[in-house]
Formats: sequence, structure tokens, C-alpha cells
Amino acid sequence: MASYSTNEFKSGLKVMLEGDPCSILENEFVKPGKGQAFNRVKMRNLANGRVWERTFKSGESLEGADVMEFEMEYLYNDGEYWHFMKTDGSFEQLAADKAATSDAVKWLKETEKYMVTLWNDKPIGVTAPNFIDLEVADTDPGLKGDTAQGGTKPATLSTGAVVKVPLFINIGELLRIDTRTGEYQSRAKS
Amino acid sequence: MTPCLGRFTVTSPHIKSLSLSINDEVFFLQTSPEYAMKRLLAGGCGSIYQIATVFRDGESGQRHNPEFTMLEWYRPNIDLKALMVEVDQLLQDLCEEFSVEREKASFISYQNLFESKYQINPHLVSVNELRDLAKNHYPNLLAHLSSEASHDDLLDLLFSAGIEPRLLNPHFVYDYPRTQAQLAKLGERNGQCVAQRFELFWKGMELANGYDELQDSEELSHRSLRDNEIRQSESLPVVEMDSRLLSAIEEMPMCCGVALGLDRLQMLLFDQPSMKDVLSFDIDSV
Repeated sequence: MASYSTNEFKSGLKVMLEGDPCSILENEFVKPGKGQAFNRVKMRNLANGRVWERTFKSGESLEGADVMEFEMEYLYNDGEYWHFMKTDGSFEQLAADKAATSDAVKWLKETEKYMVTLWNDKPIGVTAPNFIDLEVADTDPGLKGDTAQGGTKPATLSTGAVVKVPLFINIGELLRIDTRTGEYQSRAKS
Repeated sequence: MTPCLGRFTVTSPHIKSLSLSINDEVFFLQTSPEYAMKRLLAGGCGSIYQIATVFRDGESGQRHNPEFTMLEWYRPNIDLKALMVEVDQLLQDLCEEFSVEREKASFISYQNLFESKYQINPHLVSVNELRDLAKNHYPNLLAHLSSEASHDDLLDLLFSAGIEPRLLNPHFVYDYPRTQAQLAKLGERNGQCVAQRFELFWKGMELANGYDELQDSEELSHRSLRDNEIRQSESLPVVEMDSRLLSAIEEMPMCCGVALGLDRLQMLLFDQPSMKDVLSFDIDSV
């Protein structure tokens, strides 16, 4: 793998730090007065999702990380692993563990497509599409006529996620959810 | 205009000059027009100013571009305080011209800033105390410093992480540590030796750097030797001191000078977050 010097640290570049693959978020070149220059870098640790802030001597370099993202279709869960298939025509299948699926697990719906992050060909992250349509599995009965304003109630979706929905929503309805915030957007056309 | 090229360049270990070869002789692109302008001052030119293109290797980022523009001027027979007032007047005029709102400027010493933020005297504090302070305040920001980080390295870190971002209205910061004197005279303030220079900060960004100019060639030779010792310890190339500058500063009248980053000034006046927004083409697009 190539190595990258601080002046090549652009947002999105994947590098290795302390044994973990990281994605550069921000890179600020700092030169205090007439002093020694350094770079103040924010990066996301792709193995655990945490954001790190670190300084580097300007010109210092880090090894690149073999990180790739693929669009993959979710197939099934075998109790331990979540299985995905590449959509590039290769039909290659990969199994992601609990750490890799992480928070995305509550948005996993069969045949839906997800971005799967691979490090050295092993899944380390799963990102749900920004919006996803999911069926209501359980909620209190809807209130007729209360379509206009106010009031929410919890609804359990087919994936197990619990979201706040308007009072008029019923079991079996298909809802559009923003997976970034976990918020109800609208009813979806089925 | 003074030439962009020089046979000599700055010895400061933290400025990387660019060089090129002409007729098999090595020349440097100026990192500031300072040396050439001081030779003109020594020749008796009186007050002078210049807008110069300058070059520094390795400096790119939101607030840096390896090629940038400096407004530099020198005033014989005025003191540093008068020069600060003059810089402030220029800012006021420009703000008026471009209808930019600006709060009143503050004038504060380097020591006062450290006392109010960290409760330490930066001129007297030990390296160990500084290291502990940096560890406590900014544990994530130490990775670039070696275990032998100098007093100045640590002061720089504490300043740029905790003080500079808070200097929002124009701040003229003066009386720097003697080890950061560069080409400024040393003086005494409250029984402490300080460098007679100032820096101007506005909206959390350094904008200008001014000196009560050193006229002592022996002292300058001594500082350049120390610069080169640091260069050697950091495996950087040794830079020969400009012999013509050494004789010029002895001839030069007592004067104060200041360099102001024009690209940064435009960023601030026109509220642009990045230097590339005020350049026709930045280093990534030339």
C-alpha cells in the first residue's frame, strides 16, 4: 500500500493509524507565528466509528488503508452473521459480524441495497441508504380524523426499529424513514 | 520592486525556501522581501513599502498557499507602538472602504494572554511545566511533538490551540519571548528580556508580523548560528547567512517594519473561509 504525506491528507482518504483503518475528515495546516508547522487532523476510525483528533508533523506520512466500499444487497441473518451480496454482477457474498453491522442492523431489510465498507476484503462497516421504506409491525390503533396536527406514538417496524410516528399510522402501513436521524418522513407508496 | 530571487535566504528553521538554478548557480525564491528592502533602507531610501509575491515550500491549507502576496513596509524613526497604530489605521480605512464591521482593536502582551488563559508567565515557565500544561489541556494535540519538544514548540502549541482562536476582534500581541525574536531587537519590560515585535490577529487568524528592526550584525550572526544548530538537529539543510544583509543592518537607520498577508486580509474583508476563495488559482489548480 502506498503511503501519504500530510499534504495529501484530503477528506475521504483512507489511512492506517495505530493498526486501525481511518478515513480523513478534516486536515488543517497550522503554522504558529514563526514556529514549527504541524497538521491538525480529524479522522474517523472505521473499525469503531469513533472520531479521532491528532496532530502530525507537517510532511509526516501514514500508510494507506486498503479500504473499499461496495454496494451490496442484504440477504439474511444466520443468527451470528449478516450476509450480503455484491450487486456488480459477481454475486460474491460476504458475511458481516455484529461489530460491522453496528447501528445499521435496525435498518436491514431483505433485497435492500447497502454500502458495505471492506478493509482487507473483510466487512467493517455497513451504511443504510438515507431513506428506507419499512412496514409497521406494531403500534397502538390509529385515531381517525387526527391527520392534521400534533401527537406522536411509538411504532415498531418490520426490522425491529422503533420510531415515533403520527397518531394516524396503522399496523401494516409502509413508512419512509430517514436512517440518519431515525425519524419518520412520510407514508410510502407501496 | 525588489527581485523575487536572492543568493541567500532566511535561516529560520521553520521556513522552507524554494530554490532553483540559473546558469548553474543556485538562487532562492524570496520568502519575504525583507532582506532586499533592508539593503535599500541602508542605502538611505527612507520609508518604503512593497507588495511582493513570496514563496514558502510545504505551506498549503485553508490559510496557506506556497505562493502568496505580502504587503511589507518600513518606517525609519518610529517606534513599534506607532507602527501598530498605523497598521490599525490601515485596517480601519479598509473596513470603511468595503463596509466591513469591525470591533475596536486590542493591544495586549504575549505574557498577559498566557497569564489569563493558562495562569503562567511564558517568559519564566519551565519546559516541564509547559509540557504538563499541554498534556492536560490538549492530550490529542501532542503527537507531532517529540519528547525533546522545545520551550517554543510548546508555547506555539498552547498559543495556537487555546489563544489564537479566541482573538476575534483585531488583537495586536506584543513583547514575544526572546527566543522568538527573529530579526527584532531585544528589549526589557518589567525586568524581563522580550523580543520587540508584534503580531496582529483578527478573527482567530494571524495577519501581520512587525519588528523593531535589529541593527546589530553580531547579534544577527549569533542568531543565525543558533538557527543552523536547530536545523542540524532536525536534519534540515544548513542555510548560510546573507553577508550583504549583515552589513546592511549596521547601516540601516533605526526603523520598524511590518509584513501583512494580503490574501488573508482579503479572506477577512470578504468573509471567505479559505485562501483558495480569494486566489485566481491556488496551488492545486495552477
